[in-house]
Formats: sequence, structure tokens, C-alpha cells
Amino acid sequence: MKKVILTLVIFAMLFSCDSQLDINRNPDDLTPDDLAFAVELPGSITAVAGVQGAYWAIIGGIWSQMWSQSPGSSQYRIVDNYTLGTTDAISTGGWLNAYDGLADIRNIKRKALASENWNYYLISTVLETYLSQMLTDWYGDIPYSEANDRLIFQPHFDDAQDVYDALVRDLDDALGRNLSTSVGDVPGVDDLVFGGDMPSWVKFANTLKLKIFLRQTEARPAVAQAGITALLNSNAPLLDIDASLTGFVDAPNLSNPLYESDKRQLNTSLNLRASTTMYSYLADNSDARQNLFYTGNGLLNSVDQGDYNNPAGPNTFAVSILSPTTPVYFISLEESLFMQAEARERYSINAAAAKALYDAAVIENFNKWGLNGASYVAASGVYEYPSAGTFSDKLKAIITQKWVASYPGNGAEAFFEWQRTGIPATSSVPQSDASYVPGEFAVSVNGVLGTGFPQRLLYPTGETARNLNAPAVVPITTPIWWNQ
Amino acid sequence: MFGITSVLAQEKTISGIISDSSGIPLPGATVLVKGTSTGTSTDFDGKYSIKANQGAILVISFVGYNTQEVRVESSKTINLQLSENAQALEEVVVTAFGKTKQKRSLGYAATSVSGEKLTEVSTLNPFESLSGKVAGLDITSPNQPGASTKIILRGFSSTRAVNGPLYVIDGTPISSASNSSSSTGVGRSFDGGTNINDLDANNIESINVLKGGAATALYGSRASSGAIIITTKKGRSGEKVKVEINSSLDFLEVARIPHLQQKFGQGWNGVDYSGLPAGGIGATNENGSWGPAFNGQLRVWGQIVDNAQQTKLYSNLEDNIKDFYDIGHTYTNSVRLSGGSNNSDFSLIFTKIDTDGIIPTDADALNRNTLSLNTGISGEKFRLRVNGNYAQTRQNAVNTGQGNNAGEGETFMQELLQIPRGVSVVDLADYKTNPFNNNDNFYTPYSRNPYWVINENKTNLSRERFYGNINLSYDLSTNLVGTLQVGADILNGGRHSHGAVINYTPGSPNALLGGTNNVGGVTETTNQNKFYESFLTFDYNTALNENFGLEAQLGGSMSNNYGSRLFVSVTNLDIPNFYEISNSAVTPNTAQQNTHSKRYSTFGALTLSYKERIYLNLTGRNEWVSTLAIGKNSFFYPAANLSAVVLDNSKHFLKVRGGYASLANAPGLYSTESSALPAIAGAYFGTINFPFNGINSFEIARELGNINIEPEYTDEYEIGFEGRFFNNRINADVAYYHKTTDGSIINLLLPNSTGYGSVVGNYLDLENKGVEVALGFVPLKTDNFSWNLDWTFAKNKNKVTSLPEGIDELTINGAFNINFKAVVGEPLGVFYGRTPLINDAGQTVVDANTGIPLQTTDEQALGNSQRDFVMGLQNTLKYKNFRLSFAFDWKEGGQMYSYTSRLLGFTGGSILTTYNNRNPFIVPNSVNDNGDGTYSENTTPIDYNSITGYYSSTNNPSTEAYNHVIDKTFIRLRDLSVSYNFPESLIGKSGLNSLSISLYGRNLMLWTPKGNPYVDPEVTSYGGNDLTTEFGEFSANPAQRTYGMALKMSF
Repeated sequence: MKKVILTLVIFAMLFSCDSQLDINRNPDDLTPDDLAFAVELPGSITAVAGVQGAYWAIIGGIWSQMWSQSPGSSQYRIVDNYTLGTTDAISTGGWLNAYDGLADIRNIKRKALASENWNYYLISTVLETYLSQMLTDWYGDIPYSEANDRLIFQPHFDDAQDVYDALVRDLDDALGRNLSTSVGDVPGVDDLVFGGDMPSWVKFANTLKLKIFLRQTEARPAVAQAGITALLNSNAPLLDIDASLTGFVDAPNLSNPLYESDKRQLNTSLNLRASTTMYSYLADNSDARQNLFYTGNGLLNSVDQGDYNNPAGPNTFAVSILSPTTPVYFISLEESLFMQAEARERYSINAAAAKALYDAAVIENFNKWGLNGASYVAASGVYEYPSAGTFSDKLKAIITQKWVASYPGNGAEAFFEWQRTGIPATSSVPQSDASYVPGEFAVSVNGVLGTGFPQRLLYPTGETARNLNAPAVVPITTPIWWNQ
Repeated sequence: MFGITSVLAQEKTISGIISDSSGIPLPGATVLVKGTSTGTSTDFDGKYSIKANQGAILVISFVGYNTQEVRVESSKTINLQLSENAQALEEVVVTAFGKTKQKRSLGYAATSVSGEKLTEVSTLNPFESLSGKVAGLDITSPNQPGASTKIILRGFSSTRAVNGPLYVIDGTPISSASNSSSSTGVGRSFDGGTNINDLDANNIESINVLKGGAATALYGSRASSGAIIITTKKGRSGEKVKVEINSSLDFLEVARIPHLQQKFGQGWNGVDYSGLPAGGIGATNENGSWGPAFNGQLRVWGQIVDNAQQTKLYSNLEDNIKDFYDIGHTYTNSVRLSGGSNNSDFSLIFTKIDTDGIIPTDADALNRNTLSLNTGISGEKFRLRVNGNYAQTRQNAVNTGQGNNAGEGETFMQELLQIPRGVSVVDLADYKTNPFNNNDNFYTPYSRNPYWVINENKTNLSRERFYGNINLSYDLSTNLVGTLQVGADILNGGRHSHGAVINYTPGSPNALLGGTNNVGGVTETTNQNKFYESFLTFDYNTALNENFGLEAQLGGSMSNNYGSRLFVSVTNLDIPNFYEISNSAVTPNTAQQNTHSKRYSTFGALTLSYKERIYLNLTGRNEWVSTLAIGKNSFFYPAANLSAVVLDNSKHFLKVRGGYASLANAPGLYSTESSALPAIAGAYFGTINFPFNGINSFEIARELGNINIEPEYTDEYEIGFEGRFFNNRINADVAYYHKTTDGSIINLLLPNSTGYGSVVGNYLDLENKGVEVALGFVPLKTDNFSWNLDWTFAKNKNKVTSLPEGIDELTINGAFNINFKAVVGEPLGVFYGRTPLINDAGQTVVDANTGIPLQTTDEQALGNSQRDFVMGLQNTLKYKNFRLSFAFDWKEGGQMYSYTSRLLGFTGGSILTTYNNRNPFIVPNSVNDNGDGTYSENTTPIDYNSITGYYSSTNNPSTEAYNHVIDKTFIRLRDLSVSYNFPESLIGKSGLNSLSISLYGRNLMLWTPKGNPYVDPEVTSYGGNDLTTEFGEFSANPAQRTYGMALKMSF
């Protein structure tokens, strides 16, 4: 018996040793701590591009009436008829992937702050605030201060207005750091936006602040005015190049996300058809961009917004043209210029410069399509700046052109700006009516909100079913706070 | 003494016949001369002959009968009838580490089934035959050769993939991992079966099913969902070499195909024409049966090819889908050699299975060769046994799910079901020379020719497997045995799959109609798994005094599990029909994974017996596992049970038993720490991958590491009884159990805003309770005729008792806006979806413009996937040498999602779509919401061309909840067999020892309730034992019916 016990004791000693069992680490994976800035940043940038450039580009593009759902298929009907719910992947995916991207962006930011790497601190802060503004513009109250903390499983939702203030505060904090004293790695090719050019990030940050303040012109005019005035008077450098993700190629999973999702991966590439709203506006102005936006060289029909049960053959309607290599524009040069034009006109800060800014913006967008836009903004051109007009005439010109320039990937921004400014105007008659004015927004033919438009996206169940602190789902008809 | 005996002895040859009490000869009974090693066994007719001295005692024994002793007198003939032993039937069961135990000593439910029963009607998958025969065992049959059998014992105890039992072969656990695609996606899936399919059914001596927690005490945490203990065939010592040959031939035909409407043909919105690409109107190019009612008139159909067009009668073809299927076949041939000398034995068996299922081509073919050797030698004090098995499998799997034309293309069932009513499917077979059937000119751009799909897209699996063990036991003293067993299970697997390219010829009809090209793709995977387990035990056995006996066991085990997997996949093939990774300019997707886990344990077991009537069993086990964090990786769990034989006489036997077991389980691999993975940005249907723009990137993985995971503990109480009454004319085995699981380890889904998808931890409390009843009757028994009736019944009630604070529900799986959840107070797996909106008055609120029901804002519960009960009924009738048996299964209740229902609603193939003869109708009892809290009667009909949309979830989203979550109840005639054993009078001179022939059928009839005209509810798109697979089917392949014959002989 002694022998037995001895044998068992030896057997037991063989394997009760902890070190032998300390093997529960995936040998093929890195750990989050292993991630250098240059390893984590590129995926953080593509994450923003994927969210903005696919989910929100499709919803934004349909709701800003560039496109309507094809009568021959059905993929986006729930967008076009305003029934987007709490479980529809096209809207829930944006929320999910935004916070997935923010996890890495905020991880970079945490580590950059700890190591006083002010370069990566600024880059990560700009990405964080840029994406968070879009989140709060779609959803209102969002988790901001407690989001992406691995110790907090139930993040609190911050009030939407507080989020706006926090965005500015966080940008100011990052801008206030002395980049020349930044410690550690220097951004380079891993910076897919500016290739490590930090002055461009400063411009991006300033332009983003301008965008954040402009959004508040109606709800908090004083805050907007004070912020913009301070920004412009300080001569803070603003974007004079595109802040964008380029480098897409025509190959699976490496293309422009809108093209990849809508054209390559879906089983039909014909879902997005020309909406009468933008199509008629371009046609009415003989805008050469029309034939680059939509198939058919202007000979095909457009779909009245939301009229996806139209019995005419689907092939009679013009289809969206998308390219696999189009960059994703975070803030394009023309958007920067349009915002500056509005800011200068609105607060009379060297308002005389507004026309030049507007003209340059329109021409820049035509350039992007390989066209010369000079004649359009020239005297008597269809898009001539109404220098002699009222402020609202000028704003109408600026926001309308910003809307057209948002094609194809920035419809969300056009939709937000339409909510804020009411530009383009909303038609009082259906688009099938002879008195319909080209370019005016129309309620979807199959819209379920009566004469109303959607105002926001609904919190996804992926948040509300798992987060005790999530508020009740806010109806799609409740405006975002800045839309007063 | 010896001398004296030999002087007095007169050795002579005694012969005779051993039979049972009714005079039926007992082949294989043992005849021993008491006190010597001389022995023999009876032949097929119960005959024996043995040399013995006058005055010697013959000991005659046979399993299930009372042993008798008889003194050799002057007569040279001794015939004997053995009386049946009421308590002895199946009295010995194999439990831990290959040890046999008297069943009467067990304090928990264990059911054993002989190998013969298993191979009666099925030679490919031994477990399929268990269905309905073991109470508490819920088995889902494979729906194609080589597909998975899902086995659940006593309900689901986890949301993880750990619900399957542990399979133990001759004392060593072996892998039963799934070779299928993931158990959630709906895109493109396949069922490649599980590793347990490598087992040769012909080599099984017996299967013992341990259902409860007691199994865990014996086999450790991996057996927390029960254990299936398999004993393979051995040779018999002292037996001359015997050859057994088993051959069978099965024919397979398609069983359930969806019941379809037979009235309306090809078209859409009630019209049978479509716009031509170049303008004008042509024959319909739709993939649906939404045309007008059949009228029998001749009409043109399909595309215009070279200015020509086909014509056909516009009339129904009732079996157009069924006609697609072939008659499949399975050939099984098995040869076994066995025998032994006085101190050694061997058994060598080779089995070859070739099968090709019902789908045309070899797309569902399976070839398997297995070779097993089981041999032992023994000396005075030691016994050495070696058991080696080799299995080679080549399997083609038919993909299921929706398919993916940006990857490896469409799946067969999805395309087949989109063929309109009235279109002759078999005439589409020639897509190579008939121009109307090729991709360019196929009658629709919206679906593919299914013949093209099964011929051009493939999934091929291959597997080489070796498993076995070496067992050495040594008698340290008369009461103490030491045993060392070293086992291994080594597997090399591979999978190749590919999908063909479609590039529509510019200007061809389907190019003009906007058909999407298929980019084509290839996937290659290889995987190696190596599992080693060794154990050392000491068994002590003594009689303490006249009344008390003691058995004790102490032991330890260690196991190592290594995995390695390499996956490479490319899409966008350059050269058509060339399926190599090199054939693409696109960056391949690659993944490589190495895994390693360890598990150590020590355990002890003690059995105290009193007068062989009362048994007290105590076990305790401590485990150390590598998948828990250091410092938290050790756990102990005890078990105790009591068994008392309260009645035991020649006619009746009754045992009552009761026990408690604690079981524990550890988390899966690599859950304790977070990791980082190659960055992938989600973009709705697309992604942005790396390397991008020449650089690489990684991101934090979606799963958050949890260093604080603890083992999950389950407490199980069980009581029951076993009885055999009136000489085995009635027997019963009844068990009641109650299991509570605290801190079940699950993937807790985290709010999106944390940036993580999930965290693994102890977040779910569960309860399972149920009864298991097995009743046997012998209503008739005469000399020549007997009728046995066996009935099993099991009911399990499962309830989620707690979730983390503030969380009411967890989503387990979901697709098409139907979610599958765990909800507190409900069974695991409740279906949720948005249903038609009903007002307080019970009226359906519809959209005033379209007449289509509005949806509820929130998801509503639609029922759950758990069965109300599972029942089996088996009849066995014997007349002389004939035997007839048939078995029914009845599984009542439970819901499932049916994508087939969804697809047939969309295509107009479903019978449901003929409501009101497809004339416009107003949704019954429908109202419009006036917006002020009042409702007015709805007057908007679903008009003629909206009827199509009414059955499609795109236009009528609540149809998902209303029509696609269906009742999965069924009753099935599982099998029927007739066999005949040739008596020796017929085969005596042939040199054969035995010969039998049998005819059988499987899955002969299926009844499903009215709500399910679509699928056999047991078909699945996924393999494995995951709870997620209970969600339902996604264009699953059809089940099949089998007719076969088998010939068994030995010489």
C-alpha cells in the first residue's frame, strides 16, 4: 500500500506544478499590449472609413435623396421607407463597427497619453472626435466618456449636447499639446490619411472644430458664433487638402467600402438607382456630373424617392455609378471650403472672401470628377454665387452645392446639413406632380411616417439588450437636439 | 491426491445440448470442468462435447441465465436447461477505465446496447440506431452519408459547444469534434460530420450510455454532458480462429421533399412574361411560381437563343423537384478474424464502406476504410492489451445555406427550390451542350441551374485517423491490481472546396438582365489533432467480512491536446476550372492556429457492499486544467450514490437507487486573456482588409479576456428504480433527475459601446429536470414465438434561472430578423421576432396603403426549441428463426426556423401562397390605426400584384415570425427489419457456423404537423452539438430513406 501511495504522490507532483499549466495563451495571436502605434493605427483609420463609407454612406445617400431603392430588388427598402429598426444590420452595423474602431483608436490614445506621444495623441483624438460626432449626429445621446473601457460593461450614455462640448474640449486638449516635444514613435506610412504630416492633422482638427460649431448654429447660436469667431480670428490653419483615405484598389476587401458592399458583395449591383431629387436637379442645371453619377447618359428615368413598387421595368431606371478606387473623404477640401464660406458669411468675418471659397469648392468637386467647373460658377453660370443676394440665398447656394459634392460617399453629412438648414427645400407636391421643383426633397412614396422624414437612427438591440444604462429607444421621428 | 484421482478416473467424452427453459438451444454457453482449465462452449445448435472424468463437476454458464453445476455420472450425454436469471440480464456494464461492474451495484442510470442491435439496420453510423432505444438520449440522424449525428443527453446544459457526450473507446476518450462549417452563418455551410464517424460499427461489442453526473465523476469534466462508453470486439481465449463476414447493400432515396403548390406556374405578380433586355415583352425570366394558374396551353418559355426559343405546355409537373434525385447506394463489407490461445486473444477487423447518396453525381459520396486490432496476452500476474484503430475517410459534402457569389458560389438546395412549378428539372441536366441550360441562357438571371452547381462547385474532405491504447495491468497482490493505460488519438484532416467562375458573355440574355458574375474561389484547409491521455489506477477489492465487501480505486490521469490548423482561401479566379490557390491575383485569406491544452486529475472511488444487496458508491475527483487562470485552475467534485436490491427472487427483481453528483467543467481554450488579430474593418456586406496599401495592421480582438473565470459547477440529484418482473416479461427502468448549473460558462455578449463583442465567464444559471422511462413487455412468448415491446420516454424541462444583473436575455443565434435567446424563466433557446401588430381588440393592424400587417415595435416570443417529450417504441417479433422488428420515434414539440419555408414563400412554391386562390384579399379581421387611439375597419385588399410580396419578408416583414418559425414535431417509422438465421440443419454441411440474412429499411415514414410541409425537422445545415444549431435549417439537404439487405456469416 505504501508503494501505491508513493506512486500516486509522485504522479500528483508531476503535474500539480503551475508552470506546466501556464499555457493558456494563443500562440498565434498578439496581445493588445504588443500593438505598437504603427501597427494599430492603420486598422483604426480603415475602421472609420468602413463605417462611414458603407453603412452610413448608404443610409445617408438614400436619405439625402441621391438614390432610391431599385424597383427590381429590395435590399434597401427599409431605408427608403423609413422603417429602419433596432435590429437591421445596415443601421446596427454602423454603431457596432464604430465602437469596434473606437476601441483601437482609444487604446492608441490611452497609450499615447501615458507615454506623452503627442503626435499619436492628436491623431487618435481627431479620429475619436470625428467618428463620435457622426455617432451623436445619428443617435443623439451616446456612450462617450465611459465607452471602450474594458472595466465598464455597462457604459453610461452622455447627453448629446454634452458630447458636443466634450468633442471640442478633447480636440482643444490634443491641439494644446506641444507636438515638438512628442516622445517616441513618429507617424509615417502607418498614417494612411496624411503619411505622418502632423501639420495636416492640426488642420483636420481645426476644420473638425469648425464643423462641430457650425452644426450648432440653430440650437445654440451663441456657442456656434463664439467658437467659430475665435477659430477664424486666431487664423488657425484649416484643411487645404483632402482628409481622406486613399489607396483603394479594385480587388475584394481592398476597395472603396461603398463599392465593395453595394457592387461587389451583394448579389445584385443594381439596388441603388438615381433618385428623382438629385437626378432632376443635375439635369435641370445641365450638370455634367449627372452622367458620372448615374448610368444612361441622362436618357434613363429616375425613381421618385421611395417608389420601389413602380411597375416599369427596372432597366428603365438609371443606376448609381460607383468606383472601387474612390477615396473615402473624411473632410474633403471642398467641404472645408464650403464650411469656411458659410462661417465667413454667417458671422461676417471677412465675408468678402466667401465667394472665392465657394467658387474654389465647386470647382474642386468638378475636378474630382475630371471636369472643369469654372463655367458653372462664372457670371451667369447656373451655380454662380449670389454675391448680391441675402444670407439665405448664399447659404442655399453653399449647402446645395455641398449636397451635390457629397456624392457618393458623404450623403450622411448632406442629410445632417439638410436637417440643420432645411436646404434643399422640401417639396409640397409629390415628385410625380408636374409642379415639382427639381432638386427639392420629397417624402418617400412608401414612407411610413406620413408627411414626416426620419430624424435619426434607432439604438441597436446590440446595445440596448446588453446595457442596463441604455435609455429607451428614441423614435425615428424625434429630431436631434441641434435640429431646432 | 492427483495420483489417486488419475487412477480412479475414467476419462470419457461427454456431449449434450444446452438450452433455455423453453428448449431453445443456447449457442455460446460455457461448459467448464470444475477445478480445471478444461472448457468449451456450445455451438450454434447448443451442442457441446467435452472430455471429463466420471465424478467431475461440469459448470455450465451463460450470460443472463443461472449458472448450473452437474455431476458427471455414467451417462455420456448430459442435456441441460438453464433457467433465466431475472436480475442477470445485461447485468454487467462497462464503466470507468474499462472496468466492468455489476449493474446492480450502480446508483445511477446506465443503459447498455449490444453491438448486434446497433448494426441491425445501419452499418455506417452506429449511433443512428440508438434513437428511441435509450430513454433520455435525443439523437438527430444525419441527413446525408457522413453527416453529423447530434446527441444530447438530459437536455442542454450550456450555450457553448460542450453539450455533446464524451465518447470513450476501450477506456480512452476520443475526439468527436465537428468537421463542419461554423454553426451560425447562413451564407454557405456544409456538414462534414464529426470525428466519431470514424468508428467502425461492425467492431462494436457494446455501447453503454452514462447519462448523469456520475459519468463525470468517473471521466472528468469532459463528460459533463454524459458519456458514451464503447467496448470493441475482442477475441476469445481458447477459441480457434473464427472468420466473420458481414456484407450489406443499401439503396437510398430522397425522403421528405417540400410539399409544394401544384396550381400556379412560372412568373411574378401573377404575370407570365417579363421585360426583355432590349425592350418589349418576352417569356418570363422569373425564378418563382407566381404566374397565372396552369392552363395546359403550349407556350414559349426561357430565353431567346440564336433567335430560337423553347416551347412547353403550361401545365404542372407534380414531382419535378423529386425527380431530380437519384437512387443512392451504400456497400458495406466487413471481415473479422478472431481467436486466441489459453493466454492470448486477438480480433482483427477490416471494414470498407462505399456510399453515394441521392444527389446526382458523386457530390455526396463517402468512402471509409477502417482497420482495427484488439489483442491481449496475459501471464500469471499481468495482462497486456493493445488496441489500435485506423480509419481513412474521403467525403464529399454538399453545401447548404444561401450561397455566396462573391466567394465559392451558390448552393444546390437554394437553387433547386427556386425552380418554378411546371419546369422539368431533369431536362436541365445537360448544361454543356444544350444552349438553353447554360449560364448565359438559363431561363432566369436570379438563380442558377442546380446541375451546374453540383457539378462545378465542390467540398471534399479527407481524414486519416489513428486511435488506440496500450493497457497493462498487474496483480500486485490477490486483492490489488495496478493498471497503466496510455492512449492516443491522432488525426490528420484536410478540406478542399471550390466554386466555379461565371462570366456572362456580354450581350447574352443573362448579362443583359443584370445577372451577377461569380468570381469563383478555392479554399484549402489542413488540420492536425493530437490527443494523448494516460492514466494509472490501483484497484483494491476485498470482502471485509461475511456481509460487507469493499472495492476501492485510486488513480491519476494526464492528458495533452494539441491542434494545428492552416487555412488558405482565394477568390476571383483567373483561369476558369483551375482550382488552385495560385489561380488568383487577389491577396489570399490565410489563417493559422496552434492550440495546446492540458488536463491532470486525481481521483478516488469507493464501493461498500452489504450482502450484495446494498451498495454505497463514493467518488471524488480533483482536476487541474490549463484553460483556467493560474491559481483558479484546480477544482474538486464529489459524488455519492446508493443502490439497494429490494427484491430478488427467481421471478422478480427490483432495485432502487439514488444519488448526488457534483460535476464541474472548465472553459474552452484561450478565454482568459485578450488578444489582437489582423485588422478587418466592417463595411456592411464588405470589409477592408490588410495588408492595405502595402502595410499591415492588427486590432484588439472582439473577445475580451477574463482572468477571473471559474469552473462551472452542476449539482445533480437522481433517483430511480429498475425492475424485472414475472421472469422478465415486464421490465422497467425509471429515473428522475434534477440538475442545477451555477455559473455556466458562456459567451456574454457585451454592449457594442464597450468595443468588445463578448466575454467568456460564469454568467448563466440553468436548471434541467426530467424523467426517463424505459418499459419492456413480452406480451407473448411460446416455444416458437415471442413478441417484445420496448417503450422509452423522456421529458426534460430546461429553465434559465439567472443571468447577470440587469440583463434579461442573451442572444444565442439569429438570422433573418429572428433571434434565438436565453431568457430568464424560460427554457434555453426562445425564438423572438416582430409579429403582426395586433390591437387590444385582437384585430390585425395593417398599413392603410398596402393592406399589409404592420409589425410590433418590439420582438415577441415565438416559442422555444426544446422538445416536450421524446418517445420511442420498438417491436420485436420472433418466430423460430425469423425475426421482425420495427421502431417508431416520436419527438413532440419545439420550434425551429425554416429557411426552406422562407424561400418557398418568396418563390411562390409553398402551398401557403395559394390562399384564396391568389385572388386579392383583405387580411382577415384587419383594421387601420386612425392615429388617435381608434381603429377603423381595413378596406385595402392585398391586391393582385402585391400577393407576391405578401409572402415575402421584404414586403411583409412579420411573415418571418408568422410563417418561418415552425413546429418541429414529428413521428417517424425509424426502422424496420426482417432477418432469418439459417438453422444448422441447412448450413451444417457447408462449413459455416452461422449464416443470417436480413432485409431492412430506415426512415420509412415521416409524419409532421400541418404547419410543416417543408422539411424533415431533423435536417440541419450544421454539424456539431452546439445549442446554436437548434436554431433551424438553411436550405438543408433533404433526408433520405434507406432500403437494404445484409448477409452475416461466420466459419
